[in-house]
Amino acid sequence: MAGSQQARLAGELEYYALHKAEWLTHKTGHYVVIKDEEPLGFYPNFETAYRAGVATYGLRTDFLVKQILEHEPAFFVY
Amino acid sequence: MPVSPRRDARDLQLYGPRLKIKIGHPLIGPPNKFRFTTADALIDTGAQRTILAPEAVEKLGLSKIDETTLIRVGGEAKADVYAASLQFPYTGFSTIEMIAVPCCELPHPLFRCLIGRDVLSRWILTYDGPVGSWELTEETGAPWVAPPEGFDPGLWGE
Repeated sequence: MAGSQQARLAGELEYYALHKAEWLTHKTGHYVVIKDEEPLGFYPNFETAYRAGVATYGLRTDFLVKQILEHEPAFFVY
Repeated sequence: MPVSPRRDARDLQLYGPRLKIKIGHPLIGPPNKFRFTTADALIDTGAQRTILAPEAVEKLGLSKIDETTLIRVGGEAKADVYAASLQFPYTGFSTIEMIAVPCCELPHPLFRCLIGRDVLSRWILTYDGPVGSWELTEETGAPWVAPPEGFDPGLWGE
């Protein structure tokens, strides 16, 4: 990833990392939407979470949509 | 309905099945004025997720929504994840109005997108190596529409 791309959502990802353990206790598997180090809410699936983010922040704005999982997934691309 | 480009066996073996797609911002809310970009995509059963090359992401100005890890031949790499929509012109296949797609360099010049198993889970793919043809079917898809004049015949066959 380019440096400028990594900087995008850096604050949101840091906020997520800080609160992940707390959220794992009661929101595992849900999606959290975060922007500017403030959570918008928790949602049962990606689509609902993303729609909530767009409704609040708009379509052309970065915001974090993250599934709360104990182990971060890695995807195979062969 | 099926997509049945006629290909020769050597071409299919060398370059794989490729499909013309349109990439854009997610199609939610009122119709948006944001443009789309067209790209060739490789149908890649080895890819767990659909992947976009950076050119498409930058051209459209897609919004970043996450970061993830991709495990590729040779090691693993961090990748940004973007929100996008995917359309499949000339196929009648349903538009994917909203999808999270990781982005990474795709060095092969013939395609700027990998269609991974997240999208393939919606379709039936038939691959006939000896004949050099492949076919996609979406059970609820609309009828096939022939490509227009001037469309890359090498991509779609005769």
